[in-house]
Amino acid sequence: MKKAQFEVIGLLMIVILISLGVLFVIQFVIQGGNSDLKSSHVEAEFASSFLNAFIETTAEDCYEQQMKSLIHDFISVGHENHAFQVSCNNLGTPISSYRYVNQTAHQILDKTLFRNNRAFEFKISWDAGGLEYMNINQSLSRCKSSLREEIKKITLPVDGKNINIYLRLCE
Amino acid sequence: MEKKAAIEIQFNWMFVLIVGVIIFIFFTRITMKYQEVSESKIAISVLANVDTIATGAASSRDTDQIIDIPNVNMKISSTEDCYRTYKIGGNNRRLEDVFIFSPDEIEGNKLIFWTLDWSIPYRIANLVFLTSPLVKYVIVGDSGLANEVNSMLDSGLGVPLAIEQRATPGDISLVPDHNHYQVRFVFFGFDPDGVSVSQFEDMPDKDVTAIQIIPDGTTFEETGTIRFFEKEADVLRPVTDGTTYYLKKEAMYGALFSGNKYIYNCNMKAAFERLRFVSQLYQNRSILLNNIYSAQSLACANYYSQACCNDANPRILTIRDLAEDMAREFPRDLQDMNDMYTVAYNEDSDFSLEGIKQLNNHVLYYSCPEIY
Amino acid sequence: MRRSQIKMGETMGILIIFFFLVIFGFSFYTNIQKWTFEQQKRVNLELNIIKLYQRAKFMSEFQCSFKDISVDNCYDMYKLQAFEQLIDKEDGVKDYYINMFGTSQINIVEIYPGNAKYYIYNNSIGSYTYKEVVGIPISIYNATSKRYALGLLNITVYSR
Repeated sequence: MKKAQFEVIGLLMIVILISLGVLFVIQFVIQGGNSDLKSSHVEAEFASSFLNAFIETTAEDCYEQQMKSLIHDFISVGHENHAFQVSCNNLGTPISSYRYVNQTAHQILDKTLFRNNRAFEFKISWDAGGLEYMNINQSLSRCKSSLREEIKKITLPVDGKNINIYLRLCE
Repeated sequence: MEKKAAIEIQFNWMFVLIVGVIIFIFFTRITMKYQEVSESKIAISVLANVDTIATGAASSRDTDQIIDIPNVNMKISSTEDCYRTYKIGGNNRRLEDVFIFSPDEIEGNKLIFWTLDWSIPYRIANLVFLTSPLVKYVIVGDSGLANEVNSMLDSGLGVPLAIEQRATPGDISLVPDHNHYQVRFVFFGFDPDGVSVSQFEDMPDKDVTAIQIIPDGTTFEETGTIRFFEKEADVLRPVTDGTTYYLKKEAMYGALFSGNKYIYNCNMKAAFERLRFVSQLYQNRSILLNNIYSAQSLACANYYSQACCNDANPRILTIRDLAEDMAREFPRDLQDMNDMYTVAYNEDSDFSLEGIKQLNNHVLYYSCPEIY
Repeated sequence: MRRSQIKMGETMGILIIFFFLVIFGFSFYTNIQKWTFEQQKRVNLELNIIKLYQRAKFMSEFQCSFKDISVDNCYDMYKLQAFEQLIDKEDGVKDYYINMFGTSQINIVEIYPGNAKYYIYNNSIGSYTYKEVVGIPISIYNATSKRYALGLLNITVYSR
């Protein structure tokens, strides 16, 4: 009887070991399921394409100037010196180049990142001088706990300063 | 009782043997099946990666790169009806919208990709050249074009191609056999027919090939004739129906890298089909611009009109129609290549004979939107 | 006799359990493989959309070019209009681009300053298992006014 009992225990141990092994494999396979491929590539493309397209965009009503020229204008004059900046006609309601760029960025982001409830930060700054000229963001707090973040930057030289335009996208 | 006890042990052993063999066969079959599946997985993975790399290469022009791959044997083929595929083991993929000129077999663990932009005169597509460092290329001749090709492939590319140049066919005997699995001779100014390649006698005939490039002087060597040759015993002989043509030097490089006439001709047919649709697009665009500028009576309207709507010499439509013919049947005639080149690039004081490129320069001069 | 019968029974029992475990393990493995293939199909669809996007981004049919130099991330407005006409009215064009774009939908939507839409390609399928959507910002260049608008290149890929 004792021998038979041992044999049964042996069989039981094998069954338990195999079950544990199977559970371990299931857990491993399920965890490794999600694909990161498209998300990481698309986020990176979105951010860099957005910045490139934005600075090339021609203002709707500001002397055919592109955004990069208007940015150049308000930075070289001073972003708070509205009186000395280019006065954009703005379809009959003149505003300074700084306000025009800010308004345009809001308009564009409204139709893209704001609408899709994305956590992002759009920023124009002079990092070496510690100055931030413009910051448009949404749900930045989500960036702290985000698993993935994409930051792209474009640099515009303005009067010897390297002005950085950032777009930061968080998951 | 004793009799039963007497056979018990043997019966036991027979039973163990039979069951053991069954279990052994079972596991052996599983292992073999797993090996097959693994090899298939590697082949599919390599094919997918090559596909992705080829798409990337086809998107970025004038690039060269060398890629490491597992040591698989890749076959590229084009049937007579131009069904283009590349395959590893039993797995194959169809070549749809990329134009890949390559030997019919790639061995080794490195792939060399090179792309050149093909424009007539507007940009059509990138031609992708794919080869292996284990294929040997021998330029025979020392004409200007031969030296240009050698210079481009030897030092112009940033990838290690096995290439050398010999001034005359007589110097071919000096080409050492370094165990390359394929050898391609490129003749400029000499006829390869009957040229001895005895040092490669032991190699399969299809692995020792040659092309003869005969450029047309009237188009600054941008068009010409290409003849394909293959080894027969120890000399080179022309391949049946192995005469074809090239339009622009980029296509000439395509012939240089193509393992056989089918790979070259089928890729060119597909490229001409693309040219046909791109030409139609520029025709539509020129009509749009012509309508806008005619209404405003501006100088540029004349140039758009010449490009799209001149009944006597409809430039873009001529390219489109010739491209359509060549997409249906290629090769046809060297004259087709020359006609297309003339319509695209002709420089003439007579306005009505100017090529599309010249018309484009005129509209640029007047700060109007370019034709292409 | 009884003892040997018991022994035989024991051996048969072990073999039965053994083969049962093997079959169970094998069917479990097959199900895992099936699940992995579905995941792979998903990954392939994602690779496909990336490939499609790369293709569409660099096609000479859409790209801006100045003095024969193509500009990245920029689409020519007149080329887009011409392409819409081409794919709509010319025979054989859609079939040609089906090889390139497969079962997908490509359109371009201007978001600043106007709201023009360009329907480049549509070969969507009625019933699908997977769908991936991508929207990438691009510049849309008007060659007559020499102005750049900002738009989105929207690509949707379907798979059964």
